[in-house]
Amino acid sequence: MYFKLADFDMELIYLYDYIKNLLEKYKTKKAKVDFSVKTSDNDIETEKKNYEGFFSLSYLESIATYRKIAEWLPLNDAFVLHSACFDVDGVGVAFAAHSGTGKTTHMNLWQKYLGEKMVVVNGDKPIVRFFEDEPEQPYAYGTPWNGKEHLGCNMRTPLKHICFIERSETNYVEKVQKQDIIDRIMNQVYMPKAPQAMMKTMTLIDRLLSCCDLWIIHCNMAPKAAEIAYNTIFKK
Amino acid sequence: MNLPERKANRQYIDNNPEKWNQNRFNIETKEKNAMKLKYQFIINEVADQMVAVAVGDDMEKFNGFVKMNDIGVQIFELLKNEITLDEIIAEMLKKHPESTEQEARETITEFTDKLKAEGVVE
Repeated sequence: MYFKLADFDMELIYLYDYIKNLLEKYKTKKAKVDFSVKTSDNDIETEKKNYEGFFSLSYLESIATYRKIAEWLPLNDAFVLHSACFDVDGVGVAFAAHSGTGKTTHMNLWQKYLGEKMVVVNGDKPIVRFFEDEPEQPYAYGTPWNGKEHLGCNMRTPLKHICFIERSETNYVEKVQKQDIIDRIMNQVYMPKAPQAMMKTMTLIDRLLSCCDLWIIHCNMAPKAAEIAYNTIFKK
Repeated sequence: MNLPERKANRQYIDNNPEKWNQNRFNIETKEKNAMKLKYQFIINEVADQMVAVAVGDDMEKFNGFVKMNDIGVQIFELLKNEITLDEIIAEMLKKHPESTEQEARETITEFTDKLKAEGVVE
C-alpha cells in the first residue's frame, strides 16, 4: 500500500487491515518511495509491553507503524510533536501539554469561539516538518494518528505559535522565550533511540523554538478562556 | 641488574605482607572514588543550553535529560570514562587555570553530587 504522510511518499507492508483503513485518506498511487515501513510480530509484541490492558494486535500494529515512522523522520528534517494542532485563517497553532491537562478541551473552546475560521489539523500527534527552501517555516501535518476523538484532517498548516496549556483559576496568556520552556517542549517531542536521529531531533527542536512565537496559556474551562487567549496571541 | 624470575618476584611480594597490604589499600581507595556515567548520552544545544539525553536502550533506564552549561559539558565528557574526583579537578584546572583548587572542587563536587542523586553517575 502506498500513502503520503507529511509530503513524504511511503510504502506500507501490513499484517492487519486496521492500519490499511486508518490510512485510507492518505492513500496514493504507486510512486517513488521515500520510506518503506513494515512491522513484524516482534514489533507488535514490543508495543504490547508498553500498553496496560487489552489492545488488539491490529491496533498495536498501527502504533508500531507510527513509531517506525517517528524514528525515521528526524534524519529527514521532521519529527512528531505531541500537541493539538489547528489552523486559524492560514496560521498554525499548536497546544502542547501533558495528557489530561486540557489541550483538547481548550482547542474545542477555540473552535466554538471561531467557528469556520478554524480547522483542526491533528488533535494529538502531528508531524512537524522543515523544508530546505523555507528554513524558518515549520509545517504541521495531519496524520491518522490524531487521538481517541479522531480530530484532524489531511492538510498542513504553517506553524507560527506554540502554546503550553496550564490550568489556572484566571485566564491570561504570557509570551515566553525559548529558554523558559525547554523542559516543557523536551517532554512533548518523540525522542528516537538512534543517537544520530536523537542529535538531529534536538537540532530541530531548537529550530522550532526559534521560528515560532511561544506562549503559556493559563486557563480555566470557561468559554471566555478562548477569547482571551485568541485575542492576546493574534493581537486583536 | 638481573630481574628476578616472575615466580620469584611473586614470592617476594607474598613474603612482604606489609607492602602487599599497602597496594591493596590503594586499589580499593581508587575503586571507591572513581565515577562514571551509567548510560550512553549525546549532548546538543537546545534553546541556548547544552542538553544531554540518553540514547538507545538506555533511554528506557533514564527517561529524562540533563541541562548544563559549558563547564558542565566538560565534566560530563570526562565522566564518560571512569575517573576520580581529584582527576576531574586536575583536568578542569588545566582547562581553567584562572580558578583556584577550592573553587574547582566546590563546583565539580556540587555537579557530580547532583548527577549521583539523579542516578546518572555510578
